[in-house]
Amino acid sequence: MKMNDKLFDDFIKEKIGNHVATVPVDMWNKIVQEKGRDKKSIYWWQPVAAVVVVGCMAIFFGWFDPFGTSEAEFKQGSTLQYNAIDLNSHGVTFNSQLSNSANQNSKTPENLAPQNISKLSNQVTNGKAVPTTFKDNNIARQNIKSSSIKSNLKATNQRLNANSSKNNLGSTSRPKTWMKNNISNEEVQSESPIAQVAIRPYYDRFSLVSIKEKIAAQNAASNISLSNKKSNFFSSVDCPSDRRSGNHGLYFELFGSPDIAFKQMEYKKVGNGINSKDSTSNKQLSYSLGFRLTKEIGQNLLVKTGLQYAQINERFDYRNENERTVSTVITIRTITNSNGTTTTIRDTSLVEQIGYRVKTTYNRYRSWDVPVILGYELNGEGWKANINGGAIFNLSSTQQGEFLDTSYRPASFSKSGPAIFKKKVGVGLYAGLSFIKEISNCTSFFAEPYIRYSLSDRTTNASPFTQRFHTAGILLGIRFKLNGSGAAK
Amino acid sequence: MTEYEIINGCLNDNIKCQRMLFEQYAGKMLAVCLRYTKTKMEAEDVLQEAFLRIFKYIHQFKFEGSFEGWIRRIVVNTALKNISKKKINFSEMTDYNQVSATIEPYAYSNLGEDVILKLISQLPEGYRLVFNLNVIEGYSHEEIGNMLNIQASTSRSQLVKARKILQNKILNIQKIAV
Repeated sequence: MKMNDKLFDDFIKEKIGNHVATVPVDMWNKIVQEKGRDKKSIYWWQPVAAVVVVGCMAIFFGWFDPFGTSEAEFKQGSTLQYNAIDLNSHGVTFNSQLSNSANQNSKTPENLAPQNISKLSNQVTNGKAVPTTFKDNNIARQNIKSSSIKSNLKATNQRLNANSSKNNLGSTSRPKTWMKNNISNEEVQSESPIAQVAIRPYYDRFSLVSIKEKIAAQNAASNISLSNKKSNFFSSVDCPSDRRSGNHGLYFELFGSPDIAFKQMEYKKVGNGINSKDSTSNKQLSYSLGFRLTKEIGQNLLVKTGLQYAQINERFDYRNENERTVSTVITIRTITNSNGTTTTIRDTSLVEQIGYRVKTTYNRYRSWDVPVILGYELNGEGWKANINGGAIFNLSSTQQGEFLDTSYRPASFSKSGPAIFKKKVGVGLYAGLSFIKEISNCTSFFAEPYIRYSLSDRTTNASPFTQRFHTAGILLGIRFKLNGSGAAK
Repeated sequence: MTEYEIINGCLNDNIKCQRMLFEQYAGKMLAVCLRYTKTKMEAEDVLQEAFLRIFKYIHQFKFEGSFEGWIRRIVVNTALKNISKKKINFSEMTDYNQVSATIEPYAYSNLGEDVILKLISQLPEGYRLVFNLNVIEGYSHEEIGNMLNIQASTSRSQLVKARKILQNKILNIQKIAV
């Protein structure tokens, strides 16, 4: 029979399909060396990459301000203070004081009155007196030539009136009201280039704020004493200078959170009922720490990103009912017989004890994540709230501890074990509600209850079980405003 | 240790289990690499890279099917990746002998493994690849077409040519032997 193609192929396959070649002796060492080099190169770059990404984003939003509007540069070393306004005797009165760092402590709100404006003007314009006229409770027109500024402002006159009467403002004997933004349309000419440049950003901001109708006299009323204290106490504490007058705030948040983790776990092979019998794991208090950069991107819209570390703690208790221990018992007896001789007898025996043994292990699940969150801001009287939602991207995940295997025995998973758990858990969904309370011009305290839902399992395909954690907690932190001082919104 | 235990040990990054796995399969896989490369040094490089990938991706093995088959696929893919850097030309050789050599079956029985391996290594690159993938690894022509980015018809014609060349070479060896 001639060899056809099929027979030929089968012959070749049979001959050399399972052929074994001689492997060089040093081949394994080369593989081990190469493996070691690969491991080192993998682990270090991830946290570095995360820091670089967050740093670049901070620089981008902080320096380039893609959503803000550019304005004249704020003169270095100059600060502005808006002082109290006497409503009663002068209607809407606006006093401004341009001061540099050398003159910060020279004036207090209570001491300023319209009659002092001219003195103030003189300080700036080398002695020229400036007449000042005001309309009662309405649009005021100022011609302060020396310390004047150029701006376009709108007034909420009715509110101003209502609030002034409601809060009984305006008494000359009372502390003056802090009227940050209730300045009406004013065209003010400036002859002082320094004043113009220095004060202008504040007026521009005020105009934007008043357009949004966020400034109310209630703020002024509630801040009567506080503002006075503020102007005194915080006069030496300056928020970062405002380089741009755009109303797009940039915030830096530091937070920590006590968490509760909810484990969703299922053994793949369920024949022996292990899913219902496993009660070895108990929740422990978990926590998260991190920071976020928050940037306003539009009307009440925020985007937040940062870096956070989360640790889920769990206690693994394993009780072995048939624990056996064998002890060696040596019995020494001394026998004295009638002759008076003493005989010592040593008796060595083994004693087996059967009982139960409890083994407790604390499991730790650690992860580094980058949150990318969108927020919607709500404003109220003296408070702010953010409704936040987004995704959390896991950068790296490690764990250590023990679990119950399918033979009801404890098995350990190492900190860097790729076998049971993934090194990257994937994406999780985030939802939170943040309550923000201002404690100073550029510092706020916030509390944000949240939930985090994990979309993928923490375990690999090779694991005998599937496991994922969902967490809930409350972020507690401090928020710093990075661009611009002055009135909060 | 059983294969299951060795694999689990490798999943836990146990160096001892990894060595056992290497020692168990390295010889066979080196023979696979020798069929895809021209020199033994090149075959050793491919084997080294293949085992690094095996240890790295062993968690993707789902305990379904033969583990040796899974390893072999990784080794073959690594060899192909190594070859693809060279940009093989699947051109047809001019063959004036249109009829395959007819050789009696007994003539093949004297052929050793080394001889056959040597004959295969002397094939042109493209013929050798297709012959190895189809005859020894068992891939279909469509699969070979996807792997090598050629048409299935090209794969078929390359195989026919490779088989003819091998048969003629075996015949020549038999003539010399006689």
